[in-house]
Amino acid sequence: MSNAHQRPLRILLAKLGMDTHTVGITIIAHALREAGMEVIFTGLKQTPEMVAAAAIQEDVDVVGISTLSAGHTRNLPKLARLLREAGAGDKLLLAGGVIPEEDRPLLEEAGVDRTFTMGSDTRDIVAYLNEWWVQQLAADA
Amino acid sequence: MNNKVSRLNPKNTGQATTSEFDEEVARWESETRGPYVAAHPERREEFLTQALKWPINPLYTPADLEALGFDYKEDVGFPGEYPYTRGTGPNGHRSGFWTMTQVTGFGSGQSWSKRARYMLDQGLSGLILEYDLATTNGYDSDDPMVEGEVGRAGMALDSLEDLEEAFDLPFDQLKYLMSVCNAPQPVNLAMIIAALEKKGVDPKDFVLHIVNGILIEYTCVGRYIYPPEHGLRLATDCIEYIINNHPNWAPISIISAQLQPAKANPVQEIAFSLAIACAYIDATLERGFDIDTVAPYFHFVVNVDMDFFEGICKLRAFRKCWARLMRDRYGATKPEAMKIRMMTSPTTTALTLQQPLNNIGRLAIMATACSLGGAGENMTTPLHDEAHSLPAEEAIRVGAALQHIVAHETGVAETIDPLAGSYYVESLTKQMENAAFEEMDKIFDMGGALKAIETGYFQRALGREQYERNRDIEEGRRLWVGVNHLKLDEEKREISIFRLNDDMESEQVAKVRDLRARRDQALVDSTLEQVREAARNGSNMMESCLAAVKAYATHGEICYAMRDVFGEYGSDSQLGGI
Amino acid sequence: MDVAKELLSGTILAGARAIRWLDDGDPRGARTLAEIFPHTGNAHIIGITGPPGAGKSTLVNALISEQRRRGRRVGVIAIDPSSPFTGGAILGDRVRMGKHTLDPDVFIRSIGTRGQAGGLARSTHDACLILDAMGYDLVLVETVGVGQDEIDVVALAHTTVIVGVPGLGDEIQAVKAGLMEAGDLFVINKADRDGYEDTYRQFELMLHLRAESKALSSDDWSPPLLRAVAVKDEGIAEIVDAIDQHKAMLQNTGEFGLRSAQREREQALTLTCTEIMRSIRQSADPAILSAVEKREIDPYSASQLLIKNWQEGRGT
Ligand code: B12
Ligand SMILES: Nc1nc2c(ncn2[C@@H]2O[C@H](COP(=O)(O)OP(=O)(O)OP(=O)(O)O)[C@@H](O)[C@H]2O)c(=O)[nH]1
Ligand SMILES: [Mg+2]
Repeated sequence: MSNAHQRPLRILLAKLGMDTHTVGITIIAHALREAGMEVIFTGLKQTPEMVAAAAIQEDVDVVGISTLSAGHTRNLPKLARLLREAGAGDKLLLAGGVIPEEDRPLLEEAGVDRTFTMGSDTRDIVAYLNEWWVQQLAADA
Repeated sequence: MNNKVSRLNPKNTGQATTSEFDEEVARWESETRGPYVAAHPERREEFLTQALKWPINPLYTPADLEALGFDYKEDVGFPGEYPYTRGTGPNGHRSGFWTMTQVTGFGSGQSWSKRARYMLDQGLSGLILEYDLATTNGYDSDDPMVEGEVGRAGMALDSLEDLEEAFDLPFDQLKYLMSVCNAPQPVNLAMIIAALEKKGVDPKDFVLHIVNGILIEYTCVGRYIYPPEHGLRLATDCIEYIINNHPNWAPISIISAQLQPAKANPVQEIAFSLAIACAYIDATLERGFDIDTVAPYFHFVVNVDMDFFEGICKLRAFRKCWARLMRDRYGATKPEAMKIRMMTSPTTTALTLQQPLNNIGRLAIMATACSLGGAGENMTTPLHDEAHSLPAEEAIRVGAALQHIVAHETGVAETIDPLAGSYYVESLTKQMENAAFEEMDKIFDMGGALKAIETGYFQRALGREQYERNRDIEEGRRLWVGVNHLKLDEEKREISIFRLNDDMESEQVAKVRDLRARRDQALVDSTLEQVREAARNGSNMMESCLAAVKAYATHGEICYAMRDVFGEYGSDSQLGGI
Repeated sequence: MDVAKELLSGTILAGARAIRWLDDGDPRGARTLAEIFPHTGNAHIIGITGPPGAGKSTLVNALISEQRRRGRRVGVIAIDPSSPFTGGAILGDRVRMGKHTLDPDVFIRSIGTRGQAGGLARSTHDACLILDAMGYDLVLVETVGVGQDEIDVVALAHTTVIVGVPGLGDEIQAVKAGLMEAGDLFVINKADRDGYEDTYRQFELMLHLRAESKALSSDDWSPPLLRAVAVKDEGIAEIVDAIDQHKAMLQNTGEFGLRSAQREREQALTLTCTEIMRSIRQSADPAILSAVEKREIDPYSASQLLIKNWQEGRGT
C-alpha cells in the first residue's frame, strides 16, 4: 500500500478506570508501531469521558481499550455511547484483556467491534487492523 | 555509602580458575558427547533459561563451580545459618509445613466472610485479603471515578462497618491474615485494628500482616494515590506503628511476585525488591530504630515461573542476597536480621486461558519448585481459572488440595534443601547473586529505589522485558501449550467461572450513603481535620486515622483528606514504560 | 460536515479532521486551509524545544494550567518521532497533559514526524493555522527531543523556549551550538535535581557570550534564564510572564506580524520546493538515471538533463 505509508492508521490506546494491568497494552503499542501505525497513548486511570475527548482531538481511526480488572461491562458501553454522541461513532472500537465469553454479546451490542483475549498473537491483531484499514482507504478513495 | 555492594564480599571475584575437571570435561566432550551430537543434532540452536535467557550448558560439573569461585561454606553453609542459602530454619519443613494460604476478595464484606469460611474449611489456615480497585485507589464506592469497578477485583471497603461484617469469622481457625491495601495503608490498618477490637480478638493471638508495599505500586502495579515521597512516608508510619504497638505483627512485604508478572527477570526481581526494601529500611532507620530491630520485620513474597531451576535458584539466591545485604550494607549483627521472611507462590502468568485444566499440572510443578526452593513460612497458590476471572469455589478446593499433595505425597519436604550441591543449581544460584548485586549497585548509584521510580528506570526496564518475552512466544522460541503449541481449533471452556452479582455495586453505594446520613458528622469532620493536620505536620498518621475510622469517616473521605495535603500522583507514572 | 465552517466556529471534531487531512496530505486539507487562512494570524505560537526527556511535555502541561488561569484558550501540538524504518510511532506526550483532556478550552494534538527532520512534523505549520483559526489564543508546539540543528521550530514560532536540564554533560555543547543562538527564553527544568547550579552557570555563561556577539544580540530583547520544576509547578508563572513580555515586545516592535508574515512566505516557498521535487522525481527519465548508475554519465550532467527534460515536459 503506497497510500498506507502516506496515511498511516492512527489508533488511541487507553486504560479505563483503575485497571492498571499494562503488559498487554505495552506489547500492543510496540507491535502496532512496528507495523507502521501511529499509536497515541493516553496514560492510565482514564475515564470514558477522557478517552472519548482524546480520541476526538486526535482524530484517530481506532480506539483500543485494554481491560483486565473486570470493569468492562460498564465502562466500555459508556465509552461507545460517548463516542457516538460526540459524532465519532464511526471509529473502530476494540477491546482486549480479560473478557469472558459471557460478556461478549453485551459488548457487541453496545458497540465494541471486536475483542481479543490472552494469547492473541499481535501479528493477528496487526493483520486484522491492516485489513480493516485497507477497506477504509478503499471506501474513502 | 560509596561501597559497591557487589564488591563487599571479597570472595565474590567471579574470576575463572582452571581445574583438572576442565580437562576431563574436554575429554568427555570429544570422546563421548561430541560424536553423539554429530549424529544426533540438538533439538534447538541454543538452550537458554526462560526469563534471564542465560545459556544452559549441556552438563554442569565441579569445574563450573570452581570457575565461579564457589565455596561451600561461604556460598551455601548450613540451614538456619548464614548465608541461609539452605533455608532460614534449621530443620527445613521436617518440624512443620509452611502455612497454606490463598488470596481472596470480591464483593461486599458479607460475601467475603462467607468465602473466607469456605476457604478455611478446605484446609487453609491463612488468608490474603484483596480489596477492590476503588478501595486501593482511595475512593468510596459511590465515587464517579470508580463507577463499575466496585467489588469487581476484590472486596469493597467503605467504612469500619464493612470490615465488621467481613470479620464475622472463626478467629480460632484463622491465624494469619494478610491485607493488601497499599496506598491507603494507614487507613486500612486503622480499620482492621478497630474491627478486631470490636470483635474482641486479642491482637497477640493472631498475626496481621499488612503488605504496605507502596513502592511496588509505582513500579508495576498501579494502585497509587499520592506522589512517591508521601507514599513512602505513609508506609514508614505504618511500620513504625506496628513495631511500637504490635510487635508480633508484620508491617511490610515486598512483593517480588508482582514484579515477576510484570516480567521482571529473576535478577531484576532480586535487585529491584532489595533496593526497594532498602528505601523502606533507610526511612525506618531515620526514625531512630536500629537495623537489628528493623530487619526482622521485612517480608518478601516471591513466586516461581515454569522454568523449574530458574525459580528454585531465585528463591535460594534471594535468601543469600538479603543476608549479605543486611550484614554488609547495614552492618546487621543478629541472625534474625539476616534471615529473610518469605512467602512463596507459583506464578499467575504461566497459567493459560486456553485449556485451563492444564494449569493444574503447571501449578503442581511450580508448587513443587517452591517447596524445593525452601517454600518460606507461607505458600500461596493461584488457581487454574486464573486467566478467566476471580477464583470459583471449585478452583479454590483444587488449589488447596494441591498444596497438601505437594506437602504430603511427594516427599520433597522430607529433607532440607535437597537440591543443594547440584552443580547446575549452585552455579545458577551464584550467578544470580552476582548479577543481582551488580544491578543493585546500578540502582544505588542512581540514588536508590525512589529515584529509580521517579525517573522511570524500573518501569522502562520492565517494559523492555514485556516486549521481548512476548516475542519469544510469538516467534516460537518458547513453546506454551494451548497458546502456541498443541492449540485446539475450537476452544470450549472446560470449567465454570466466577461471576459477580451485578447488583452488588448499587447495594454497596446505597450502604455507604446510608452510613453517611446516620453518623455524627461533626465528629467525622473534626477527625478528618486531625488527619489533614497530621499529614501536614509530619507526625505518625496512625493516631488520627484511628480516630477518623472509629468515627465512621469513610475510607474515601480519609484518603481525600490526605489528598488535600499530599496531592495526587498523575496518570503519567510511566508504568509499562510505553 | 462543512469542515472549514465548523472549525471556524470552534468545533473540535472539525478542527481535528482538518489537521488529519493536512497531516495525511489529503487534498481536502489544502482546500480547507484556503478557506480558513483569512481568519488566521492571531494566535501566539510558542515553541518548546530541548533535548529528549528534558521535561518538555511536563512543562507544557504546567504552562497550559497557568495560561488557563489567565483565561486564555490553549492549543497544543506535540510532536514525537516516527520510526524511520516502519513509519510507525508511539505518541506519548499527552500522557503528561492528561488533566487538561476534559477542558473544552484546551485542544491537544499529537503528531508524528513522519520522516521530517528538524524537530517538527511537515504538517506542524498547518496544524498551527487550524488551531489559530479555531480561536485558540496561543499554540504551544512541543518539538521532538532535539540535538543542535533540529531547530525548525524557531522559524515557526513567535517565541521559542529552550528547555535545558541539569546533568546534560557534553550534550550542553550541542545545546550551545544550535539552541543557544535560537532561543528567546531559556528554562532550566528539573531544578530540583543535583547539578542544577552548574548547569545554571553554564547557561549563564553562554547567554553572556551571546549578548557579547553583535550578530546574535538585540537591543529589544535579552533572553531571560529561568528555573523550573515542572513536576511541581514551580517557576511556571514566571515563565508565562516572560513569554507575555516577549509577546508584548514583539507587538511593540511590529516584530509579531513580521515573524508571522515571514513564516507564511517561507511556507509558500517550502511547499513549492516540495512539490517541484516530487514532480521532478516522478518525471525523471529512468534511462538517464540508469546511465548514472552505470557510470556512463556523471551526476552533474545528469541533473542538467533531468531539469531540462522536466521544464520541457512542463511546457508541453
Ligand atoms: C500480570 C497480572 C498482574 C500484574 C500486572 C502487572 C502489569 N503492570 O501489568 C500484577 C501482579 C501487578 C497484577 C495486579 C492485579 N491484578 Co492481575 N493479573 C495478571 C495476570 C496474571 C496476567 C495479565 C497479563 O499481563 N497477561 C499478559 C498480557 C500480554 O495479556 P493481555 O493483557 O491479556 O493482552 C493480550 C490480549 O488480551 C490482547 N490485548 C490486551 N489489551 C488489548 C488492547 C487492544 C486494543 C487489543 C487490540 C488487544 C489487546 O493482546 C495481548 C497480547 O496477546 C492476569 C490473569 C490473566 N492471565 O489474564 C491477572 C488478573 C487480570 N488480575 C486480576 C486482579 C484482580 C488484579 C488486581 C486488581 C488485584 C486487586 N484486587 O487489586 C491487581 C491490581 C492491578 C490493577 N490496579 O489493575 C484478575 C482480574 C479479575 C477479573 N478480570 O475478573 C486477573 C484475571 C487474575 C484473577 N483471576 O484474579 N496483576
Ligand atoms: N525531578 C524532576 N523530574 C521532572 C521534571 N519535569 C519532568 N520531569 C520528569 O522527566 C521525565 C520526562 O518528562 P517529559 O515531560 O516526558 O520529557 P520530554 O522532554 O517531553 O520528553 P520527550 O518528549 O520524550 O523528549 C518524566 O519522568 C518527568 O516526570 C522536574 O521538574 N523535576
Ligand atoms: Mg514530550
